[in-house]
Amino acid sequence: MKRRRNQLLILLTVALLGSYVNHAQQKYIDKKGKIVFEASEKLFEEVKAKTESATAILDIATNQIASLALVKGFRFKNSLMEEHFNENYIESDTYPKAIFKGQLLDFDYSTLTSSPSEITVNGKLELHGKEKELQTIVRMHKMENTIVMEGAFIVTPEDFDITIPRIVRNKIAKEVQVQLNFKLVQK
Amino acid sequence: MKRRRYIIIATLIVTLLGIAAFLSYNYMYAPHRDIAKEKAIAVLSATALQEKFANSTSGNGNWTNEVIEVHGWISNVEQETTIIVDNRVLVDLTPQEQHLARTLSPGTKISIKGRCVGYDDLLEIVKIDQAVLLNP
Repeated sequence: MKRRRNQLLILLTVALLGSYVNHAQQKYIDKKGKIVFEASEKLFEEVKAKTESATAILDIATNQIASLALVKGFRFKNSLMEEHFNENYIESDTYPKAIFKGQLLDFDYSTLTSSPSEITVNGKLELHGKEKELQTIVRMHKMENTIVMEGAFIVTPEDFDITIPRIVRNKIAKEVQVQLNFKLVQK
Repeated sequence: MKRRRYIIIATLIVTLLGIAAFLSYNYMYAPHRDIAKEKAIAVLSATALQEKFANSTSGNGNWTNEVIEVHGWISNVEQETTIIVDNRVLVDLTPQEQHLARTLSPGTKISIKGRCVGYDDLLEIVKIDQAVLLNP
């Protein structure tokens, strides 16, 4: 009787451990995600910034995706532009991060191959203390143990209550193009 | 006599315009901060830094954009350029020193100076960029 109980206990432990390990394997992470945004106008100095340290986490069991970029991690070519962006427009001392939380629609990891497939992502982007619903298409493919995700979408400063002063209004595009490139590795 | 005065005034105006142009150019195209030359406002361990950020209510820690010195043990080096210290701090070196990251091995002691970018609550780590290696 006692032996049986022990056996049961062992079985239970193994099962629990198994599910834990399984859980850990569902997550794909990129700690060095690239995000570029650009709002350049022709004939004026380029308004473009890049970060190479955004975080992205994809859970392939639930198809949930979360991404975080620290606003101060965005670097401009022009230091004054970077300063104005941080202090006057995006107010990064008060709102230090940009967060996206969403869901991949009709995505099945097991069918992912080395040739890119287009996946729709639906979620919310939070920035400057404002949230915005966002739906976009990303291209995803598998490269050895990595899931590569590339995409682009457009947002506007008004979406996030960011006002551009009149004096620079014609030097900054009304639409901001955002590009992302994540290489997610199993964790 | 009158002509001479004109010349003096004209030279003055041109010089002033030149100075104004020079100053405004310097203002508009000022170089980026040189973190390596700045003095750190604090010296602390990777663990202490992460706890400071994790426990701050704003998740800001008031140290974002400040230059700090951090020490700890290397957990691992990722993608050849990024150093993870004590699993709590992620360090990106300056472009000049980036190639040194691959020479570092996990388990060794490290000390760096860099700019604090902020706290990543998805990974629960503090991010530092534009860092330079110091002698541990």
